[in-house]
Amino acid sequence: MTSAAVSHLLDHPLSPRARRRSCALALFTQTSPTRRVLRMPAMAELRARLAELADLSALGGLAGWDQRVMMPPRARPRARTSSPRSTVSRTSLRAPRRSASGSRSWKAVSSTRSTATSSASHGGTSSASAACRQTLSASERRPPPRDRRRGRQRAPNADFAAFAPALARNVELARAYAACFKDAARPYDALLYDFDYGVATERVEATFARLADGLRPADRRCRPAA
Amino acid sequence: MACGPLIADVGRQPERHAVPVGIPIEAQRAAVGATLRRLGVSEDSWRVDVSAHPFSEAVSRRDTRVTTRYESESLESLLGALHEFGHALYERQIAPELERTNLGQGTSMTIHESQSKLWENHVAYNRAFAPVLPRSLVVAPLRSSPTPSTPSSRRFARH
Repeated sequence: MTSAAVSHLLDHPLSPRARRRSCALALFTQTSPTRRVLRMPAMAELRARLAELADLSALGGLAGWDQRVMMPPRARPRARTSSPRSTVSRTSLRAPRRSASGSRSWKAVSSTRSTATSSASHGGTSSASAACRQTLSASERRPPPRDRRRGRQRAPNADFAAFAPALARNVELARAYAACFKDAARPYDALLYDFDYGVATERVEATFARLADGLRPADRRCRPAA
Repeated sequence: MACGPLIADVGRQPERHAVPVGIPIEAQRAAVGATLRRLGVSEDSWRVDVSAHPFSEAVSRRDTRVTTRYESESLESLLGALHEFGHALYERQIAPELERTNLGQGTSMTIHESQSKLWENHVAYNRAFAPVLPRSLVVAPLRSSPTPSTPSSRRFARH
């Protein structure tokens, strides 16, 4: 084991079981060809990019926690501080490699959760990936619906109409995103993969169909007699 | 497994007595603090706060934040806290080598919810968990004298 691996373990005190696992991983990463891959400049650059995205995601989580727990009286300043973080994160995700020697781009899709898996399985050709990024970027540059900028009146009880334009745009963006995954059998599969990779809509529907079969009798029993 | 036999079996069960309503919020707060402390939640790397809807946030492996909410008519505060604890515990057990990579987070929402529901449904709702409640409802909260004006002292006791 190298001194770097030892110092890493000293800096990260773990439980005995986790320490054994970490030692095994350290030994594994010191062997060829894994070692060669980990020492590749491109791999180092990829890991740096992923670390940057993870840090930005953590910052977003921190801001979200602050918003939902501390909740300042005015939301507008909060939006001003949260929006740049989201923009930087998306820009970093889609940006080409920063090294001067390379001309390729990461086949990244606009999902921080499953960047690697989605890219490996659904990235398709680089041209398709680039077209997908252009489509989504153009869509995001569009001005917000006019209704969202309308006054600051108190929301009525039935205020669905006020949310409808933003909701419609969310649906539009989701459809554009799903359309980037050409090999998904159904559009919803692509959206589902972000939460449960490999779980197809067909499987979910089959599961809920069985549940529905059992719930219908219970529902009938719970309803008051007519 | 078909749900029909399960539902029929549930229908044959004797009616359970509901948890008595009207539990003082201070007592609930004490119960949440004591229960989480018993599970290993410490102030050096956790926060427990209040929000409109409970959630958990894993800022890093050493900065975990969970929230719950308090209502005098139910023990949802404790159930919600344990549910979010399940989410947080799952994130904290990810291998440290994966931190700051795209693998340093839960693998899917299904697995995440299975972990949270394990603590809520299989622990908090379990009959064996009931004896914990009377004791924890009377012990002191994790921070017995919160000073609401200072954010750091609101840990574990903010409401």
